Amino acid sequence: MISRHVGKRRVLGWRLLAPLVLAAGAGLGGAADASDSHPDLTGIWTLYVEAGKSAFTFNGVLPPLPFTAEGKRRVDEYRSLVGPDDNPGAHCLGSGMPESLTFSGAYPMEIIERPEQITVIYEAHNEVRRLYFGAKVIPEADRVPDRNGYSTARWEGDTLVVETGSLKEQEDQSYPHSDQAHITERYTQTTDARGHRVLVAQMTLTDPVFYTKPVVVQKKWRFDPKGILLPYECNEEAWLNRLDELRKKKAARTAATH
Amino acid sequence: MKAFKVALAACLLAAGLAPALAHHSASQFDFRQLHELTGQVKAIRVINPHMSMTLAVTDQKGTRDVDFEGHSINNFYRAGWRPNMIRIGDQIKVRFAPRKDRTDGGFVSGFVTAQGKDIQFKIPTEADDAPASGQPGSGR
Repeated sequence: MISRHVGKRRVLGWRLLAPLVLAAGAGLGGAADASDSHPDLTGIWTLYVEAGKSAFTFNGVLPPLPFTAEGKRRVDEYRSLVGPDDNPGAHCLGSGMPESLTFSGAYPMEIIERPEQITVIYEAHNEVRRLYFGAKVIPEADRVPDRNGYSTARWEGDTLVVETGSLKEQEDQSYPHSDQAHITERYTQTTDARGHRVLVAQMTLTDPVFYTKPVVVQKKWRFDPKGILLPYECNEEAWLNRLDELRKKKAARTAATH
Repeated sequence: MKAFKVALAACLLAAGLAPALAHHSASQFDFRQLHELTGQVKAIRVINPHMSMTLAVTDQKGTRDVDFEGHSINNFYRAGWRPNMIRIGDQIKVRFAPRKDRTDGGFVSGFVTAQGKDIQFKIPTEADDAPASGQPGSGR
């Protein structure tokens, strides 16, 4: 039996089953997250708007970043190649970390929480992150570098801590970084004055190649009990245009044969 | 009200309300201005990352086809748009940010359907207890 409180999973059934599962997990090289109580983040989370503030604090302007000389050189080189009117999204490429976390605009995200894995789906670009616990974690040598990296997770009390490495170098980010970057996210859940469940993420980006000191950013979401995630198929336009092109060619061939 | 809508549209883009807006630059549009045009729908695609629409317009400039683009289907949906709300042949009114070079067309910030349904894209506020994520907009 699992009884759910507001935003909190009381894993009563888990307590009863824990000895059996832990024993099985030990045989698999490690137990899944076996904490007996932690916040249940499952559901749809949408943009949080602070009282009295704009819905967006980014507004296209970031505070100066503490680049190393090498980091600045690589970013400048990238920006001399790619103008301000172009970006990965223009080519249907997802944001990658940390931008998938920090700049998903007003689009919501869905969190699906299981003991051994938390799945985060950002509606924007359909980006998916999988945060692995315990036995699901693979050795670092087996991890394939990715724009969103590889993430492991653990609970520290009611705080979800996510460690992300195996990142590809990405100068196209709002927070550019090298492949040596490491990102720590600490998620805590609070309730605001209006009674909304609020998820607060503090993201710390460290990168000895790009930054002289850690870059710390906070992001908030509000729980949306009635929310849904919509599909986000970015390439459909390209395919429809391709079909139009084929139709025109076919019509031209038909006209030429008559 | 008009000033508010213009400011809203500018804010949406500046803030990147939708990552879709980052898919390509919107720098060709003048979000300080809000124009309106009424015409007959000749083509419409409400998809990601941007919608596109062609209206057959007759005004003081003559009769011609005018191309528009706009928000993603996700933002359309959340603003209150639903499938088949706009059909080929419908006479609709669009509100849009014009192109800076003053050629025809622009970025759609709202529209009124043939049935009179008024859809306006809006920026979330703290007062939105029913937020943008999956909740149909009021269609204001």
